[in-house]
Amino acid sequence: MKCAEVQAAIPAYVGDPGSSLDVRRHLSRCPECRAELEIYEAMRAGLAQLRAVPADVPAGLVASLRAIPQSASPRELALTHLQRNRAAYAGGLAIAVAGGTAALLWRRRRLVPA
Amino acid sequence: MELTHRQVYTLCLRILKDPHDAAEATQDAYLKVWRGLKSFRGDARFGTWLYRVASNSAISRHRKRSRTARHEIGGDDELLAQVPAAGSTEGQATARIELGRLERCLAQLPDIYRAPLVLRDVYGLPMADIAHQLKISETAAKVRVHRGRKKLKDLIAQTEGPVT
Repeated sequence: MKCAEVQAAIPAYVGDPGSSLDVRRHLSRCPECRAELEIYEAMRAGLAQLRAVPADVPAGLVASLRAIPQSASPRELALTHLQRNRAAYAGGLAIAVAGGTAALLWRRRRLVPA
Repeated sequence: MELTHRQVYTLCLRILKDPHDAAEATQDAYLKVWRGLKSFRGDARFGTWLYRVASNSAISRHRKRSRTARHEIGGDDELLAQVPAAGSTEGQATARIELGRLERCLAQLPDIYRAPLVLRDVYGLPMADIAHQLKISETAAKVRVHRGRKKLKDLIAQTEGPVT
């Protein structure tokens, strides 16, 4: 591989060093491309550090966040409850339908003369 | 909530750049978190789940903002001003300057590359999640992350001093 090809592949390689054996081979014998890789590695290390650097939140945001459970409307609460328990409600409905159908069939059989 | 709201707000700010939009996206995220907290099964780390919810809110808001073609507010300086000092020793001060520089360059990236790069390299979200949230294929998400890294590296090279 030529240096230009390797340097074009480094942005992908830096996140997944096992992705290309050709790039790794080239890097092992090319100081210029290794220097390029080191810049990307330093950049990624810096980006990972940014995760621990939070910005200051605007005034009032924390109060708005604390008010969220209270601000949810009864309709929203009911929908949330249904969404969370949909499996239980679906099961109950299925049992009710099955029971109703069975009762209907049993009643019909009793009404039909033997 | 107090422990995580700053991280959630910062993630939204990094994606949206606008503090007002970021605050609204944070509220959207917390409403979703509150609704979904009982359904959180614990099979994913809470932090990862929270970042996923937050990035989803930020990307939805970004999409809405793009649709309404609102003029984008340059929030770079505000973001940089909000980056706190990492510490008081000389070594830590140097690191703080470097992170500030990285943050500034990141904020200069076009939106199309910034969001996937932030989610991947800052918050470590899996590529499949990023693709799902951006409604693009995993291959397209990878291409955006790789191009974002290249553009960020070029932006850093345009500024003086070492990377770290």
